[in-house]
Amino acid sequence: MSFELRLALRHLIAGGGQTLLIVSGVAMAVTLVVFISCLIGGLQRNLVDTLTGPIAHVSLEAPQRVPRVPDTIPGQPDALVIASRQQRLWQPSTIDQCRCTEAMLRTFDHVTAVAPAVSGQALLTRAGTEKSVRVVASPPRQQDGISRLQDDLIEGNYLRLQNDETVIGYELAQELGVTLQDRVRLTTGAGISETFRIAGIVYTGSSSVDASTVFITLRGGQTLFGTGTLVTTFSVKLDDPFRADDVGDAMAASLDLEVDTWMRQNPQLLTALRAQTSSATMISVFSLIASSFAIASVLVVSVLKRSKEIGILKALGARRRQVLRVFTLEGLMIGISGSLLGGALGSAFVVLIAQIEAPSAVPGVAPRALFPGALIPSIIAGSMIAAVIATVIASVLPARQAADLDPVEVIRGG
Amino acid sequence: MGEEQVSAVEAVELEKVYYGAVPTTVLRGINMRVEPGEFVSVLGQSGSGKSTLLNCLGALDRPSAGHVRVAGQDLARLDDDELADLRNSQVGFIFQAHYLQDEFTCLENALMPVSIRKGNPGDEDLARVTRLLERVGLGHRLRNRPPQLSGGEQQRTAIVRALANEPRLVLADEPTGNLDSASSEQVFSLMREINQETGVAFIMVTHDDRLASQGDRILRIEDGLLFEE
Repeated sequence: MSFELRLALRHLIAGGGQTLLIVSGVAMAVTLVVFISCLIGGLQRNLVDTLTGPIAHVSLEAPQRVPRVPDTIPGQPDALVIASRQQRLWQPSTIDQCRCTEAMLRTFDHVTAVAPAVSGQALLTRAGTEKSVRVVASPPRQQDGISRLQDDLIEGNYLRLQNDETVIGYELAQELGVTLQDRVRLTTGAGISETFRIAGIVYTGSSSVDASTVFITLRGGQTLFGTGTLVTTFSVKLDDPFRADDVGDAMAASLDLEVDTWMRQNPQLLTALRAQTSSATMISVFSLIASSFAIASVLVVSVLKRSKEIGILKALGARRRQVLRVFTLEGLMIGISGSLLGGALGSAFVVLIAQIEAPSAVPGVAPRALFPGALIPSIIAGSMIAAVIATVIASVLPARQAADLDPVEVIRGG
Repeated sequence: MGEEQVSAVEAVELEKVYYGAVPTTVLRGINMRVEPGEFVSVLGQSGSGKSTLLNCLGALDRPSAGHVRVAGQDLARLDDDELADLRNSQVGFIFQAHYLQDEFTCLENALMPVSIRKGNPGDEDLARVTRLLERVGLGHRLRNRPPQLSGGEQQRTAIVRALANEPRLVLADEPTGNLDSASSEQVFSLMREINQETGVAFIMVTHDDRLASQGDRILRIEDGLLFEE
């Protein structure tokens, strides 16, 4: 152990209560930063997870067919062409060469699941009650990679779904007053009508899914929407939801498909998340700055208290840099111990508060954490490193003050 | 080159001016040399410039004009770090107050100049400094901390600290100023004995004519001028 380190250590031990105070100051700041950042980070993850869990991160559709307008009519240069663009409401455009496209989509980075689907609007009727719903018709095993439906089931089964069966959202089931094994009728805009038996009821937490989506098999959908063996949509799931726009752009660039992402559908949510993150960052930065000032002032006082010792050290031949090192090391040790303590405390608080459960409003669904904070290693490590750096910076001023002490002044004063 | 030819310390036309609101000349053209093995007493009234002279001779302070040579090295040619190294290896200081560090034991305090130089004292250093502490009668106090020592013991620890790196020159600024007469006598005798045993040159500033007269030479400083008695 170097002489400077020994000296710094002895100073801190001799400091006793004062050292404890300053270490707790750092620890408190780190606790606050870790706690707030992990809580907000956890809430955000939870929110994004709830929102994007049951839906695709990126969805691709065949472009709508628009009538091509001739610029001129041959032989009639002055003729005026009147044409209208009309979206084809009932017949969805379809993606050819389904398997080939699917395989291609899997080659993009971050893609964890791809599901081909026929999707569209339909009218769901049950004993005189009508409800407009979105139909997602997809092979259950593949769709489960997008929507986790099997895990989110309250009752029934999704993975073994038959062509004449459907899984519907919990809120929709409540509204229609239907339960497992009941039959419902789906009617498309083209007038095709089929009955389906309810094989499962799902609660995803996302009301757009729970209140107005029904899931059927791909074959069932191809019959219902009359697409033959073609599909209308590809749903893509990514390992990181926030890469949806990037991956979507890359897909749009190489495939002739219309790309939509959850991020483009929820711009307000993203803005809110960003605002939340920056306010958490602000709180963190300011609490670290405040603690740095406190540390600096305590260290300045301790240097003043020790000015005689410092003077004598210099008289005995300590170089300026050695004295500088002693007090910077004190700051470093305070920073490290305070960070470790604060990191542990903050993490403990996050874990403790995550134990508080919000009672579930839906029977059959486990209660969720009221404050779903997450121990995010990068945030914890980042806060601790930031605190150590801030403490070392705070100790530079007092250390320089010590290093610049003139031994002659100190000894004359004594 | 024989060591006898190099003075322990030498001052040539040494001047020191403090540039405050009114410039004050503290030392006016001092010429002196102290040979290895000499014990020189410096007498003078307070404010006469004794401490300033000692600080300049010990490389703590830079002169305004003139030259100081410690062990043949001209201090004007050295930068701050080199001056620090020179103080560490060639000069020992003993002040009126002991300035020991309370967090360290008697032995660790005495080893302070070695630690500053090397980081960790080696076995040889440990043995040498322990011998010195035994020599000044502190063999049983090695593990005690300064607050547990008497004033005389504290000052004896400070003497060993000044000798820890085997310097050529020890500068003592009223080393007995805070001690009762018995302790004063003991501390002075030890310095004188060590001076005679090791050949380290001592310069001692004092108010005490009786102690001063027991050295080899007495220098008297008055209004920044030095007179040999």
